[in-house]
Amino acid sequence: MKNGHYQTRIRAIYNFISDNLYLNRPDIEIKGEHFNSTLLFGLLTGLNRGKELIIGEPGLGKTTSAEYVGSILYRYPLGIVWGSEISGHPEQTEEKIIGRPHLGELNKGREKVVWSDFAQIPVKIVDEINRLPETKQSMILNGVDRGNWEYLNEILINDEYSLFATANYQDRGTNTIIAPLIDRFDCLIESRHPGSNIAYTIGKEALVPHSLRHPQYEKELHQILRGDKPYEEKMTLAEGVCDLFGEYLKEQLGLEGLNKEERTHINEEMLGLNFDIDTNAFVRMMLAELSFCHKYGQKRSVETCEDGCHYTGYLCHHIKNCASNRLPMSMRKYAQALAWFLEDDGVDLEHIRLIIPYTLAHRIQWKDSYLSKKEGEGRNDPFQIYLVKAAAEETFQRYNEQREYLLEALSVGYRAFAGEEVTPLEGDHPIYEEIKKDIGVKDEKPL
Amino acid sequence: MKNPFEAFHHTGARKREIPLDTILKSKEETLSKILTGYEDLLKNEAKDLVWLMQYSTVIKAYSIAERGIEGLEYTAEDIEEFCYALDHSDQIPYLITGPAGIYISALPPPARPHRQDQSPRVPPPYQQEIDGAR
Repeated sequence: MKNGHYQTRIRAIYNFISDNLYLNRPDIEIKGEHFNSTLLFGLLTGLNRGKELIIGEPGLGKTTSAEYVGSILYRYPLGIVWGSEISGHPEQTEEKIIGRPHLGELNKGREKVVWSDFAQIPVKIVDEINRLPETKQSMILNGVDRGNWEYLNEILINDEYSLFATANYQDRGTNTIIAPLIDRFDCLIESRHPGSNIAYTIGKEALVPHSLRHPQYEKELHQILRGDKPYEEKMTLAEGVCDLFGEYLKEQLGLEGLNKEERTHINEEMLGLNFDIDTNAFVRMMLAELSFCHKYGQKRSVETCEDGCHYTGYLCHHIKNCASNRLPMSMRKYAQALAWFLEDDGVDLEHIRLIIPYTLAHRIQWKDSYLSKKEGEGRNDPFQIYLVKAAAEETFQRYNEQREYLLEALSVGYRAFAGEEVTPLEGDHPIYEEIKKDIGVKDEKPL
Repeated sequence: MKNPFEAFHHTGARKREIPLDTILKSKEETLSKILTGYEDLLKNEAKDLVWLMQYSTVIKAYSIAERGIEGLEYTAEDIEEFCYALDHSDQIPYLITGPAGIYISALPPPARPHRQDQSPRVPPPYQQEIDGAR
């Protein structure tokens, strides 16, 4: 995928933000290149229309990193991004998040919805999402998941959007993010402290973020978004103003964001990147460990497997819940985006190994016994990400040990599924049992 | 329903070759060639039924050993492998210390890169005879 044209522009955005707006250390490495995870995943989220949950201490740039990425990538002036943001707090209402009745029309006896900027524009930021009470989190489930926003009898469907949500660590004012909502996020990233030396330079050397503001275009966009026109028409008009702001960014800062057509084109390029055979098999192995239960047929958060199971050494024994179908979708989407960004021809093991911890960390519910065992270990990452990084490496080691045999087993699976009479391969991993289930062979392995 | 293993249609027979496999394969080939050279030497010497440590047989054996290893690329580790095989392996039907010693003495020079420019370390009195036998 060596066209490089778009990638060069995206790298320029990355470099501009990391040099001027979001100063932080690189904390991940892939194929000899070092990146800051918050920025890189922010860009990937913007590019692949993903949903990212950014965690971290207050004041460490969770929201601002998302604002800069969204503003430059989608070419919306920063003022519009700020104005559309939703703050998570206990008094937040559906009317502020999604839309409200048009009071003038209501007086005339007619129902008409005035959609919020948040519901309309493609860059969506929810600040401190875990300050929303659990009951109110349910209000945004559909919108977060599919871009469908419903109010009264009207519905607004976003044909493209990226969602960034931030969350502080648990304190007295925060709530738990409900499982269905957290599962809808594609990835979890920590915005880390940049270190004392970089922190000292913030505010001294960093550019004033107002370089991304443009009052005139902001005013025009506000007028369009609050107008009476149909949503699709409003978005076309808004795209026109975004084009102008894009030209302004190019002239003033040398940055080229992406118009809607380009964003769509990039998404098509990403979708065209295939997983190589190793990545395909490794992801299956990982998913098998995250969903398999020998005793109860599959993982269920209401059922606890006991000690003494044949599969005690695998991830399935350490977790409570089952991997959702959104997990492989998130893995695929982000691994493709990363491979595209690095201009690789397809998704390989290096891409997926980097992506897995961030797409899995928020989705796993570990058993308390496992958490107690691990919590004292030294680490650099937040506990959730650390646990998944270690788990993914363990599984990767198992994959390396069994690679040839597993590929053979999957190949036999293909032949059996196609109707050939072959004996499935036996193996000491849940994936072999899953293959047997798929081809209709009864699992008879004793506990 | 679509076959969920579609991507693995052609993977079963395919074997991944890691660098270690290549190294091991190359080592085995080298050892096999060294052993063949040794066996050839034994076959030649076996004609005499009993190997006697004589001036002429030493020269002849050395020449045969040299021919056996001609063009062969090997390292010190390959010679170690060969010595180990002489002692512990059933790859070699019998060990006759005389020819084995001469064969090993014919091996070292190429295994020492820093001495590659030097001639084989043959005791000077025998060198003329060796040249003559060639």
